[in-house]
Amino acid sequence: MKKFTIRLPSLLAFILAILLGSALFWVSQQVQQLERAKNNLIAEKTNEEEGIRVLNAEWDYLNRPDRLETLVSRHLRTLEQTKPEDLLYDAKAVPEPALEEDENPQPVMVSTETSSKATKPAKKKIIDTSPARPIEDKQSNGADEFNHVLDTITAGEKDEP
Amino acid sequence: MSRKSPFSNLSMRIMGEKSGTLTFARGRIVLVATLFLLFYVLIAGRLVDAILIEGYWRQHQEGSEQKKEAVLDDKSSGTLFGQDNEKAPRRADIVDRNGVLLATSLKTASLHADPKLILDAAETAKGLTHIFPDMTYGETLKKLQSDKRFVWIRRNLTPNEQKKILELGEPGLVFDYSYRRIYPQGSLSGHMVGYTDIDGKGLGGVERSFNKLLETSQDTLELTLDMRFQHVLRREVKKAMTDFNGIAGSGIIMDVRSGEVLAATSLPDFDPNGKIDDPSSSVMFNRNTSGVYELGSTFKIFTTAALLDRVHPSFNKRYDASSPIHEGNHIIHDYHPENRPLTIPEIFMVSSNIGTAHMAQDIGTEGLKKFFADLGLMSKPEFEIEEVGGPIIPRPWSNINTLTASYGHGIAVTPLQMVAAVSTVVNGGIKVKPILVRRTGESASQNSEKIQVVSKETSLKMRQLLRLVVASGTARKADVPGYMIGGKTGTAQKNVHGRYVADKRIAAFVGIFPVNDPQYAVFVMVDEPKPNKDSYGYATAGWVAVPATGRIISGIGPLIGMVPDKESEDISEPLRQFVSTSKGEH
Repeated sequence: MKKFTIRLPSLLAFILAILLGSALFWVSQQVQQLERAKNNLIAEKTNEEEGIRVLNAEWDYLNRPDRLETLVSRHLRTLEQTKPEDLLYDAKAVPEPALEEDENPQPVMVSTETSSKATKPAKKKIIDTSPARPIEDKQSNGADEFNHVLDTITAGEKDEP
Repeated sequence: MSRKSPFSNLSMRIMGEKSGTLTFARGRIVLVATLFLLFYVLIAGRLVDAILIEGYWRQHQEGSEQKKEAVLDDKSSGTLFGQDNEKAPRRADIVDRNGVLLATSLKTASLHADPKLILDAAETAKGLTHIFPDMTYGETLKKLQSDKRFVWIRRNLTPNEQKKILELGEPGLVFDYSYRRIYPQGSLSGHMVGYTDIDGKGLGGVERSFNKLLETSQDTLELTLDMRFQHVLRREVKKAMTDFNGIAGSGIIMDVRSGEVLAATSLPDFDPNGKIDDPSSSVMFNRNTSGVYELGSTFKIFTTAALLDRVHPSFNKRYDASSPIHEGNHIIHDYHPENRPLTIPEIFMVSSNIGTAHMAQDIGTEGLKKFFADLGLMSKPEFEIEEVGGPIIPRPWSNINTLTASYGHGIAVTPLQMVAAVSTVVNGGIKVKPILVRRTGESASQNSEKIQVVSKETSLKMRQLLRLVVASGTARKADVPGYMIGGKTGTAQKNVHGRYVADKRIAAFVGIFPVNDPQYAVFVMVDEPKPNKDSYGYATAGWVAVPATGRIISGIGPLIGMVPDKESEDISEPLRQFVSTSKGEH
């Protein structure tokens, strides 16, 4: 009896067909998934755009000149419409504010010491211990500063009688 | 090697010389069976894919109905996929020159019902009347119980209303999403922008004239209007109208060089967001472009310009204004007669009808008509909206018409024509064509066909004369120190059914500034102003329109950063030698 054998090429072809079939299936699944994702993104984008359009319309609606004018006249009574004579070519033409006779021409220095007299002595200590340092625009500083503030507060609490 | 085929259980074995052939045949059968098997496996696989995998996603997405709809919408708009064959669903925006929205389309929900699907009509009708108090129960119930499959309940719901309707939980109520036209500036955007009907079709102003473009293009349409100017103009014209109890008012601000309309207001006006009941009512009427008025003495600008440009007299030339002119049945007289010969600057300054009529005689009928035609006062102007009226011109034009037209009687034009003609006279003599849609880049330079209507010299002289009127003539109340305003007043009696009525007037003023190098022309008109206490019984242009223009200019000057220059020379100074009077009021 002649044995029924599967020859290697047929086997390979069979395996290849299976592989290609699964690959095709996999790709088609991927495509469908991406398609879904794309549609979702488009939908989101359209929604966002529509939202922006609404906000734009609302912004211009709220900034109607007559509304602003009414609001200003109601809440900012000292703010007037700019008059032609308010405009000057030269900044030096702006008159210096007149000084009172006993007024010091130096700018007023606001001292934290004087204001802290009224507060608890413990808080005075806080202010003394904390060196005045400018707030730097660094992200890493945030945590440090917070810790520093925390430290001074806890230190202040301990000192309290 | 023992083979385990599906056929191995078969005990039949045929031996012999034919057995090879049989084995071969069996191999074929196995192959065919395998192929069939693969085929069924494939189908099974596809079924799993279609039912389980895709089905899962489909079910998953059904929850976000609106998202799906948005996708569909986006596809149908075609912009994303480059298919522009379908009609764009969203109407393009209209903005002013600074990008402020004048008209935009926002997606809103509308509610309709399918009465066949309504479960409990009575309960639903009750719920709906609760949400919309203006709907009556009986009518709503009738709608919901009708035989149709589609009835509109309410269009353009607010999100809040939509939420309440969803809470009713009635399956027969269906939302439909559509775009609604919104005018964020309300009545301020006015007649020039126009309005649309409920289906978004343009019915007035730019909305109407550019309807097709707005429907098909997604590009924003930019107008020449400036909402800041528009606000100042509207506020002041409204104030003048209210103060003097006028029946209507109108105002225009124009760039005298480009002809761009920066602001245009016609009062009373309407809110384009509201329901337009009657398109022919007085609030819908655009007085600036459709209204024709006899604008009185403001016409003396053109008569004087015609004289200076065509006859070339010296300013010293005198015209006898000592006695009224009798022409046929007509008598031409002055409101404040000087009763003496007047020089040209004096005639202009005191606004003498007699003197101007004499000037017109010098120019001649044909000369005056041609000059008016050159300025665009004799024909319907071209403009970018459709509500444009043509002038009313005396036909036939006899000699007396020349005399009366010289001071603005018997000839009626639209405010838009007036302000464009004045711009032409003062900008160096280049004809101005009013425009409303902003041109940028190439199209702007293409359009700059220059037609010289009056000479530069005449233009300069006219500016001097206009300045003289504001510096010491009938329009002193328009003066803003440092801004060098020029202008001319006009108070005309109204012609009602062919008769001039003494106490019904049109008070108009057209101003230009700065007069040394004009940039803007401002026109203000109040229809039928009545005297009030503060005006000492006057309701002439000098009391009504002139102060309003002064306020408008001092309002918009700082907006454009115009610094007042109090040292600059008054260009009307040289004319003083020809003037021996300083009164005049109207």
